[in-house]
Amino acid sequence: MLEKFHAKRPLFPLVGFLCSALALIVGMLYSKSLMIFPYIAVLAVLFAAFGLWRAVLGAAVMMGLFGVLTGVLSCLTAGSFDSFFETLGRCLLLGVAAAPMLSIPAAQMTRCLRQMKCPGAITLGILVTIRFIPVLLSEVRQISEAMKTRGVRTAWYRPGTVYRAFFIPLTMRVINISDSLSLSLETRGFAIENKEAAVFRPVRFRLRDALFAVGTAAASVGLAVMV
Amino acid sequence: MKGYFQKFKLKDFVFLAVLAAAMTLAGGVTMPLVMHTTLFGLRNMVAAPLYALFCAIGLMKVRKTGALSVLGLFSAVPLAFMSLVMFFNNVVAALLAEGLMLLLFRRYEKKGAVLFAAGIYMPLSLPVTLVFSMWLNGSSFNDLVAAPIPAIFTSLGTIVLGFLGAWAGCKIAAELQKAGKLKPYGEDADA
Repeated sequence: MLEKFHAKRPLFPLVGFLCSALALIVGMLYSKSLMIFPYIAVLAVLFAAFGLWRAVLGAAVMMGLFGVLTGVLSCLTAGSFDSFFETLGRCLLLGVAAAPMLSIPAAQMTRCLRQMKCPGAITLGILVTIRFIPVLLSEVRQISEAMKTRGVRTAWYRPGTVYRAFFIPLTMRVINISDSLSLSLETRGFAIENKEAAVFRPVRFRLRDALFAVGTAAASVGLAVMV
Repeated sequence: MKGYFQKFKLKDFVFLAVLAAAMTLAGGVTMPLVMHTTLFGLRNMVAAPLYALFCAIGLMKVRKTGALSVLGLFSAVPLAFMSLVMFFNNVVAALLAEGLMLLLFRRYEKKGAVLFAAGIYMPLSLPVTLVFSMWLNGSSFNDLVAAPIPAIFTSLGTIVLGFLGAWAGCKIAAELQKAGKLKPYGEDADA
């Protein structure tokens, strides 16, 4: 789902999370100023320089379009161009600030949490949730195909059909998948009490991560000083 | 009689995680429909029935204190990769809903407690959304008070659809429990 945004050399997950939060909070604090646009540009260049260009581009385009649309709406309701730029700036910031998180693979995030002594059940749950979204999507498609094959017609005035033909089979599949997965995990010796489990390919904090954090912090301080 | 706090088993976490994936998928289906609107509460209203439905199914199976918070956390994590605000929105709403359920019912033993917690989950995300929309759109609370009719409708819609979804979820879970497929408290021995 988010694989296309992943960086070739991902950041240390905690650095990505904190930098995302810092960029968002500082940007939102000064979002009424037009200086928000140079700030977003600096962040975008910084993130792209650290290999996150896919995430920056994807998020900026998506949130830029959203920002233009909501900006036009707020401009019409408020009757001034200022509100258009404010809304556009906030939406762009939301997209660009999300780039460090978008570029981090879920497995890296869970490894980092495991290294930080986060309970195994939580990291497992996070990994299962992210991994099983595409699996459930294919289940939903299969159920929809089965409905078409059986000639089940759905309409908003016949909610009972959706309930019987869609939600019951989907819930059954969720139960079956979780049962099989639990059985598989227990067979492989996974236990939630196992605190000393080894971490496969541990994630390390590197100089590159420190430079990224310093760069984001410097851009944020720069914005605060200039405004 | 079961205690207030029961230990979670591995299969509880796995079941809640798979349900959280289903919830995220449901959000992914409904969100594009209302993504480009600025109307307060409309996004919560659209997501409310499906979120409540899956929450109710999860709570009917894992009737342990903390189950809704765990479900809220798991469903919020994929959102954290896209927007930290949505992450906090989901987690805070789950914690509030669970807290209210504990105050009123003490545990998930009664079906009413499950219905209440699952139904109130999305409506409780409205206050967080209010703060966020004021922050993002730059609109003040006074703007919302000046034209409150659409916001009142979407808020009421969120509550009604939330409880309808929770009711449907309880109904599905009850049917599956009758068929012996979904047993509460982890009574099934297949995993």
